[in-house]
Amino acid sequence: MIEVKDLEISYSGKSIINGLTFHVPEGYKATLKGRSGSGKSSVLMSLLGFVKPANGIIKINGYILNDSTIRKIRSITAWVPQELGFNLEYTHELLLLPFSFRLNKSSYPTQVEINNALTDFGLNPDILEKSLKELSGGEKQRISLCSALLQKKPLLFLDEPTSALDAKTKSIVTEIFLQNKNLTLLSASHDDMWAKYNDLVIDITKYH
Amino acid sequence: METHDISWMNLFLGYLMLIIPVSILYWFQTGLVKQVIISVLRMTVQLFFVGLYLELIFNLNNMWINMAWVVIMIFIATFVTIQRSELNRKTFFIPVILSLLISIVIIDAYFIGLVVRTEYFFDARFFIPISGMVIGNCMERNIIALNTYYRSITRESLMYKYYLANGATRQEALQPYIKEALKASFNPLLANMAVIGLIALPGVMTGQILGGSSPNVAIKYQIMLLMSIFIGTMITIIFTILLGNRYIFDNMDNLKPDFKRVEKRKKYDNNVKRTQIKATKK
Repeated sequence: MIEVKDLEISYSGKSIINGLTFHVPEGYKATLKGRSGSGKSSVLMSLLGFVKPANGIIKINGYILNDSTIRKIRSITAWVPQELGFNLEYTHELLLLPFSFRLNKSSYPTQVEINNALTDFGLNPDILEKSLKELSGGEKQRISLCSALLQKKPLLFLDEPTSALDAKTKSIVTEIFLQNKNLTLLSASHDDMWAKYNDLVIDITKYH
Repeated sequence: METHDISWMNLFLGYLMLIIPVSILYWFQTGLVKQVIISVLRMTVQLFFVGLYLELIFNLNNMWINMAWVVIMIFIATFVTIQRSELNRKTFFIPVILSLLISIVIIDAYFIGLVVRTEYFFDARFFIPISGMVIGNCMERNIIALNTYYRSITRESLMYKYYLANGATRQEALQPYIKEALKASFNPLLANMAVIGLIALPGVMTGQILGGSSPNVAIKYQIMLLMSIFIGTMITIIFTILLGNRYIFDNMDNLKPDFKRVEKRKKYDNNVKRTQIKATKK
């Protein structure tokens, strides 16, 4: 599903990732491990075409990432960045935001699906009517993760998916994502518990 | 239509009244007296010249000269818009000037040709002031819209990326920013339209009434002008943004850094660097 070969990422001439090579087969759960500032998010961003690699080849779902394939690639992905400081008012707006795009209209979740998903994440469906300002960091994080999952995309990129969660919700989220057999997942995380349940752990600090 | 002229002597009497603000400014040692004198002098000289060449143009009333006049106004408005929005001149010249042209052609054709129905379409008395009012307002509103649009795309670039990475097309991902730009630009115009006549008599009406028109005719022109400004502004803004979008994104739909004016780009680069450092910190 994801093949990365000799990836080099540099900012203003200074290389922060060099020679990164890995392969995530379909259905695998992989995580990029490394301390803060090691370039984990940048790798995810380069797989989505937001950061232009200085070198290397990225292949996703059989497509070599370039100008003509990037839209195809983005159509099969869902991405949850670490901070979602969006200018939205209500929780349901955040949850359903991706379903306002034409591509995702066909997978618009039913009320039952939404309620089930929220319950799975340990959230009360009433939360949807709450203002986003009332939500805790962990609740907001679970809403965006839930939104990514509801899109039913085959490939998910999650950036620090457990950073705002406590131990209990962390194990819930870990279970939901890592036990989902149909899903290919690449995350960036420095959470050891999350890493433990992944099929593949890529230590990014080796590629500096 | 008989206009009551003001004699030069009487106009001078008008200037004499400036003694009141000047002495107040002097008394309170505001240091503004010199500036008032400069401003009044500039106003007088500039208006005097405008009067001279408008008189000339109105007398000639030549289609080509009138058209050239409007084209010059469009050029000036284009440069001012790009300058005040801090955008790259090379990138934005075509989108801005083309949008103004499209807007003015539609508005003039519709309002002069169909609504006012002047005998002679390029009649300087209608063609120049209507075009001027529309161009001036388009410029002002466009600057606000463009500033809002490009500022929010740069500031909230994460949201734009979130949209794209979750399946939105570029057009869909830009929708929230276009919405914000339109709101920022049109809210004041709408508010103004809603209270017009209640708080103050609008300029055009006042001018026409002073010039000898009946108030009934004056309001018709005022309404027509407000509508053409509203519609013209909308056309200009939406075309500038949509045409501009063709030039400011690379083939992967990422915002190119060079859409800002060169002097401003340094600041933008630093901001980008800072967010990238923040991103890599994770």
